[in-house]
Amino acid sequence: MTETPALLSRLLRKKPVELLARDMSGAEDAAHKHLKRGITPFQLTMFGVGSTIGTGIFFVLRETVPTAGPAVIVSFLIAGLVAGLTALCYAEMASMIPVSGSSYSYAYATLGEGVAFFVACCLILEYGISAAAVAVGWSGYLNKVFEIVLGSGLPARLISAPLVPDGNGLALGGDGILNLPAVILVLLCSLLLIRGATESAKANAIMVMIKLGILVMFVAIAVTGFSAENLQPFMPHGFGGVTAAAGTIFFTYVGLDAVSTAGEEVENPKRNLPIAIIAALIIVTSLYVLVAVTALGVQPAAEFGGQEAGLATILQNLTGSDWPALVLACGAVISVFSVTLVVLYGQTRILFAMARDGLLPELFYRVNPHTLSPVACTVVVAIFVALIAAFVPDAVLWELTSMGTLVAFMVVSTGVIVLRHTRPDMPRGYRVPFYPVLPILSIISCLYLVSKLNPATYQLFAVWLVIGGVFYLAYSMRHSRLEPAGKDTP
Amino acid sequence: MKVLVGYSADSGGSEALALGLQMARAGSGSLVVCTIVPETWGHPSMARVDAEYARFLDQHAQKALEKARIQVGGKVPAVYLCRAAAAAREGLLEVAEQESADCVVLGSARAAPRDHIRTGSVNTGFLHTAPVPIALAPRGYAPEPSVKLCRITCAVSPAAQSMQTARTAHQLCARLGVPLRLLTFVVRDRQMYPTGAGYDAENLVANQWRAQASEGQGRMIATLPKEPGVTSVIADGKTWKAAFESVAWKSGEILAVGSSNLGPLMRVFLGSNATKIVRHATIPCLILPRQEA
Repeated sequence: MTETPALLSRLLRKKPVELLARDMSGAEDAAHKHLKRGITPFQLTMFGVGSTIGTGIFFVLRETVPTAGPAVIVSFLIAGLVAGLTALCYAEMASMIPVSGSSYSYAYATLGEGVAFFVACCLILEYGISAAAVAVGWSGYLNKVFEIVLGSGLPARLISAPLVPDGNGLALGGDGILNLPAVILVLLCSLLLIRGATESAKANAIMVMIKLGILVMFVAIAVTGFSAENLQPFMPHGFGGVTAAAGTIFFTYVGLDAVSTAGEEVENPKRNLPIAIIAALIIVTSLYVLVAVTALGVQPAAEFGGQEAGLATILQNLTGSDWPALVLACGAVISVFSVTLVVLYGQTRILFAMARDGLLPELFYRVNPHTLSPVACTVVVAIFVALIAAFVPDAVLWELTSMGTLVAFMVVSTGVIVLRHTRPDMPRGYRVPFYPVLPILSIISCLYLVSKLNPATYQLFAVWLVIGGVFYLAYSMRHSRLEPAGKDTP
Repeated sequence: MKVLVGYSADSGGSEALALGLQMARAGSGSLVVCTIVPETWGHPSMARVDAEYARFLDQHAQKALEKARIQVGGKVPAVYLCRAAAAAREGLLEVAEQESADCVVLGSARAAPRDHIRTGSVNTGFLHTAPVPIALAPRGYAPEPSVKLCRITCAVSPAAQSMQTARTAHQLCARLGVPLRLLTFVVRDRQMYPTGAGYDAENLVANQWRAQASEGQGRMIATLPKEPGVTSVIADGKTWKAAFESVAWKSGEILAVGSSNLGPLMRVFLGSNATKIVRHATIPCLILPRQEA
């Protein structure tokens, strides 16, 4: 391999911060540069809560209670702790770059192209796959609404995936042909994105209120049927079960990083970033734990497995009447819709940024003159996510999302340590406290959760990384915008 | 160039006439000022009440046209017409066809804020059926009498049918003897909250759009004839309003937009982007019908 030195320098080349800033610059940057810091700590906390809740608490108990038993409460705490550690590390890396971006763009500017591409592969799992996972969960609640309102739900063949986890891989054998509502949801959201839909900060606040409202309602009703006996035995599968569940549950904290990316947009990031991260984390974790405790208090652990639209069903069984379950299911349908929209949006924009950097074909960054949105990119994402949502069961999707997210955050936490050594003088808007203990703790805890995931997840992840690696070597490396002009690039 | 002004004896009428006058003067053209009155019942009634009504309408129209005559003041050759029709739109279309007008000028609906254009019952109907360009005067449009039409700015995008719009606008410029300016809007009003892709993610898309837009403008300028001169500009802002304000406008300038490609051929039909542009414009707008590409 005569190319080895060139390959290494390609892997390590970094995108200049000025170039990143130019890519992201707004209309009137020169004149109004200092007006940009507009996000208040309260708003930022709301962003954190808004993007986190909805990615899983409505569905995840079904999968995790059978693994951990009532000790799933502890799993939530563990996952929350890990999410907090990683979010703090991420905040430091984000604050080194004066523009707000994704962890892909931060990694590109600080750690180099190779790491950035790797992070991007993980982010596609964090966004693309989690969009599919959320859509699958949504379909359960939509079906619940149909069941209550119309008296009967959709045919089972149309609401579940044909593939099932089988040992180390996936095999045919599910009860369904495809998950139709999930496909429709993904396509609807994509259509909105193509038309140029946005969610304003105000709309997010409304969605946060809906989510908090229905979860609080759940807790308030479920607590009336609380029976401590249901919490016994607390840890039927030992601590191993608890940590295994924590790995899956980590998925429900995806979205907390929306706070870290605010970086320079928030006033006084040194103080407000950690405040917002921790405040959002406390709100989210307390709510998750409360929901889990009350749900477990109402229903014996054995009944959680395979329960679609779990929270609504619990309310239905407890109260004997339909309306609380209907309110909850409707709230979930509305708010999870917005979560899917936001997650799909994130995915298209990350791919857009990569294409802009030359790592993906031009198709991904063409803006359509009629809709003024990247239509081709959105369509490709929609097709892939819809296919995955249609055919792959949600348990696999959750684990893959957790895998991608945890690995991405491990890279980020490692990056924080590396950068303290290689770029000690680079200004940082926010520094992680208790350095180097906190980043190391973050890496170890991520590693630990990753080690508890299913072997099947490892296989899928490995396949994905190989595809990504081949693509990088075959295409991205040569077409990167950082490639010296006059070689292969146009 | 023959400009047909849909005139009424109110401020909307005089705004439309002011714009029509400006256009007619630029191309040494002529004006057709037309007032539409309601059609009376065709059959004479016993007491001839309808004749009385018809007489009243006629007087009213003549009074209106007299007012228009004063406003025109002999600056351009003008014809004054009164037409009875069931709907203003119908009458105007008929006159436009008979007089083979090159352009129809209408006022804005009165619901518009000052200096803006809104479509009301008359001009909306017209916008959906007109086979000729329609100019709309913003509410409160009262240019100095000395102001002449000095430039046409044409809103374009890199889409294929925009080229046709630019060509039509360019031909119009040649007839009026004014330069053309190509304008593309970059409006940064779409950021999604919250997002893990960064709170500036939409700027990335907008900047790419900006690059595509100037590329497209360059291509258009290269294909258009050299005379009259063509320049280009990009309106970039956080909102439509800010984008509009980011560009310098001359008094006596009009903004041309093309019809949506969803509408039938040779007809005017505003698309969603064109509607936004017209809504936010603070200068007269000229809506061009879709031509065969």
